[in-house]
Amino acid sequence: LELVTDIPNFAPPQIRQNTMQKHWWKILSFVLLLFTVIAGFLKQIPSFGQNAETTRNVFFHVPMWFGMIILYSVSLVYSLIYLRSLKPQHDHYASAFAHAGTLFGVLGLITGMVWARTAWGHYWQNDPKQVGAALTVLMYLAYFVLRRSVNDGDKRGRITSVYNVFAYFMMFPAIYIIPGLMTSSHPGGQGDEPLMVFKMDPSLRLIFYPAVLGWTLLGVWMATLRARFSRLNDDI
Amino acid sequence: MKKVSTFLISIGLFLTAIAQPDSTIKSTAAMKENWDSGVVNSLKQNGGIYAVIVVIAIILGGIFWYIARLDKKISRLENRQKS
Repeated sequence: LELVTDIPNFAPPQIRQNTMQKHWWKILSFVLLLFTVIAGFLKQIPSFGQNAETTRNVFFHVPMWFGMIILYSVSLVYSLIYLRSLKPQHDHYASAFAHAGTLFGVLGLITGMVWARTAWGHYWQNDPKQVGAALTVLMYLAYFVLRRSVNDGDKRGRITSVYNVFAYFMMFPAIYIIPGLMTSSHPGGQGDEPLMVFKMDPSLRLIFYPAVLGWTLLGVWMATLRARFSRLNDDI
Repeated sequence: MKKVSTFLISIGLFLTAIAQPDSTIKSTAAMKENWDSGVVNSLKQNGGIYAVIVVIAIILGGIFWYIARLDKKISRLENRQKS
């Protein structure tokens, strides 16, 4: 667990000479997203079904949810580390990753509504996945309300870390298990094969997974910036 | 000074945007003709999807540039605080 404390980029200037070594993943994120945009728009859609050209949303809407789950997972890990170490910077990282995850969740909800208008006819039709996703985002919004309601840093860290564990494990029934038991317009509803999204057309997957990685790395970058800012802010 | 120049540039861009010659907005048929017979422009192939890609790529570049600058500024603060 001690290794994780070294993640903040606090390297002194003499070590900073090798920028490539430190920042490669940020460049990778940009390259992957550029690839996603170019390939995502130029690609011929394999089976021109009811989604037609909107199938391309798979490269932009779905990675928001994958990214959200990954960012929330990192947040959970930092919360658990915080509960052991009680070092403020771990709490900063937990909060920052939850924040970036929530941004992705909100963007996923909005882009989903736009897509739903085209594909199903309504912005909001209480599809189980829509409701579950909204519930998840609300649970994490409650996390931030909780953070702001406690002034003492140590107490805030402990209480919100425990809440974070609760919220994280409520996310899976909300967005996966319960929608899987109901009829849903989303893939992965009742009668569908579980984890259907992993069984999409191989030529789509070739763009989808780089897209997920690119968007997630962007989220990680935003989260680390926020955590470093909180730490500086604390020290002033 | 910086704010004033930014303001002037935005005003200029805004005026350029609204002050289009009439011919371009005459009718959809005229627009279609204009589009088809216009200057040979590689961005116009495939119904202009390349123009969309370039627009999004520019936005992407702008966002990354902005975040990279923020990153640099925070690093500078961290270094100053350390020393």
